[in-house]
Amino acid sequence: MISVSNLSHEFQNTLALNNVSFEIKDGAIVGLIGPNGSGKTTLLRCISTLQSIQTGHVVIDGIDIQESPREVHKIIGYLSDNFGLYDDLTVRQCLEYTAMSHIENVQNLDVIVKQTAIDAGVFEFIDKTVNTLSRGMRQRVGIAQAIIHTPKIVLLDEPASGLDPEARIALSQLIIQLKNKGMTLIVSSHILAELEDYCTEMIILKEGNLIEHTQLINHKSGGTSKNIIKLVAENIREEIIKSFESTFENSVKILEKTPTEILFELNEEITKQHLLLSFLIQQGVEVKEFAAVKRNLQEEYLKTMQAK
Amino acid sequence: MSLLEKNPEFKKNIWLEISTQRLIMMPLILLMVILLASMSPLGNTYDKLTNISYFGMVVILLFWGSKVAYSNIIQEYNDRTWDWQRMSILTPKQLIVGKLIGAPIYNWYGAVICLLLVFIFGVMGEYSSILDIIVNSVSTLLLGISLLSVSILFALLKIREGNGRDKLKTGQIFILLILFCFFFNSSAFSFMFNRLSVSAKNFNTWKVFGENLFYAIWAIIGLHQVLRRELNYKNKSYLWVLFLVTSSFVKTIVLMDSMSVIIDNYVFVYFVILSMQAISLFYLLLLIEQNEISSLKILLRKIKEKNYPYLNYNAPLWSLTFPFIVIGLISSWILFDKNILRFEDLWTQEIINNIKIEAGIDSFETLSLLLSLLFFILRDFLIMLLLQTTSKKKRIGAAFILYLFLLYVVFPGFTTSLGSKSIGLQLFIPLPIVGSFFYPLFECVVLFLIIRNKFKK
Repeated sequence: MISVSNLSHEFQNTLALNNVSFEIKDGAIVGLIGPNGSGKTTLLRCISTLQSIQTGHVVIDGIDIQESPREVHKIIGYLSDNFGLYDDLTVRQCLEYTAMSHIENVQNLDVIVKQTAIDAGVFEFIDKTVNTLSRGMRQRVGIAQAIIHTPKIVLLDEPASGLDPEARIALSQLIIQLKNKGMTLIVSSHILAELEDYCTEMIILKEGNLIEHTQLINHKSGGTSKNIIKLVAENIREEIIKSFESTFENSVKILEKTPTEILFELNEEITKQHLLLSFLIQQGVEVKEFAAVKRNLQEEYLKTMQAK
Repeated sequence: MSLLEKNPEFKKNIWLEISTQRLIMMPLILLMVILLASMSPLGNTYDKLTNISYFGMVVILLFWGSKVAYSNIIQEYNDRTWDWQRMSILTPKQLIVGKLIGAPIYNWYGAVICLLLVFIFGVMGEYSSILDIIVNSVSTLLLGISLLSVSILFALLKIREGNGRDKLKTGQIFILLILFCFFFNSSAFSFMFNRLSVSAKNFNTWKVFGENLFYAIWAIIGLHQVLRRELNYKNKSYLWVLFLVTSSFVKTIVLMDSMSVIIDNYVFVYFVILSMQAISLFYLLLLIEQNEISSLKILLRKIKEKNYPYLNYNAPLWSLTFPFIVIGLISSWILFDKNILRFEDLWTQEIINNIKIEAGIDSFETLSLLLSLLFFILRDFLIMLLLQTTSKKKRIGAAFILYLFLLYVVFPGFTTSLGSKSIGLQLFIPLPIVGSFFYPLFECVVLFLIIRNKFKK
């Protein structure tokens, strides 16, 4: 759905993005993580056509954004870090304006505005001016504006910054709701604990370089792919580990090992784990624990940042 | 379908700008001003009120309106609402109406009230004919369209400097822009002074109307082009070239009419104006266009790759303007003959007669003047490039102006005060002295080597 290849962007003598390439499939929720100045906003702005592409290609839903940027506008919703709202308009006026300026020959304007306000949880405040709303509510109005034309892809730049815990939980739920409606989301954030709640994939940027693109498991939004499995057993002998590695050469990668514990990555469907388990039992390993583990996003991130 | 239903941008600006309170305040304040003015015992009351109403229109539409139109874009950028618009399906035409009429709608409202007052008092007074009043009023509205369009256009160029995160400040450059537009549209400038002075009765209103119409059309075309680019359409370069060529033509006609110059060689005057206009626009564009090193690197790469479609769509306007400086200067040099210039004004004629240069293409003095002028311009361009390589991006424009002030005003001033006239002066300003081009050429070479070194890094 989103294919980024060799994307580079230089700004004010600084390489904001350096040869970034990745692919994102339909229905994913991608957490875009990195320290300040790592290129997250630039990447989102390039994908959303707000920043010109200097080198590389971005193809969205089969459309090359350099060739047909106006076509891409129709299928993308973008929310910038401070939500982009008109403080002196009411929520209804904001949504009406966005609908009229994002939907061709818009029909049933009132219905669209009302439904979007309900979806984003701002219907209660629809006739209030934006400057009277809390930050959490403003953010919801921003998201409502971004999704009013039912885009296939929604890009959210730091949506949770400055929100209280209650508003963050509500945001997580809203993001999962959008995914369930078939939207693909890229969410940049510093708050890893919050991303952990809903992300199916994680992209880490550092100084404009993509240093990790990984898929996550056990998240509330239900995505599966990269499977980390923890095995705890008595006296796991070295020859058994070697035999295990050679038997499952293409599907298993051992990440960490101690005499009593092995952490490995399964590159196949999670349902195939019973094959591994039966192999270990046949080899006489006294298995105490064999389970998929949730990788702590924060740990994963810090580990990656330190390694690279 | 009404404009409000067809144009969401216009509708939004009506929501933001118009309230009952504001609608009442404007005529109320204007009425009070008129009332106060009518109490003054000086002059014919109706003529006086015509001028005051006209002055009100100038202030409300041209100055305040331009400021509103400019700030509106910067505000949209700072609040990130501009991002929504850029990603919308709004067309450039819808945005032109929305930004040009919608955002300063309150100023247009005030201007229309003033216009009505001008018309009413003008008809009742002794000063002008009805035709004059109509033509002058339409001229002012056209001038308003030009200034507001150019203000929006400058704001759109300004926001390209932004990085998508930091906010931009509004207003600092604004007065300079207004002044530039006034000087550029020479009729507008003289018109304003003439219209505000009751004594000037022999004013060519049709010439003013013509020039204002010309620049209003081009201002809208320019705004349309910049908006197209913001909305991710591709622009071609020929319109800018067409503007330079036709604008010089209009200016030639205006100059011939207003300066009482008797010229046999119209082509010579045209090329002089073309080069002067290209030079002034070149410097302005260096200041307002985004000339980052990274963009220039891409440009150089595309030139090497012979990617002509990219260059056609993305070439900076200064790069399209520079050839016209060269064409204008060389053509003027070829056509130059001081004997062809005769002024009705004796004072101006004496200045021309006193210029101690030999006329003609075979003169080394005029050739030196031409070359030094070109090299000085090139040197200033290289200074701008050098400034772009520094880390302090926000002050580049101010630093560039400061350098120009030092190089063209302060240093020549010092040199003159030290008693070293033409020999020292040729270091800083173009002079018709044989070999004077050597100094700016040397500076160009040094600057080029420094920049090349920085580029490689």
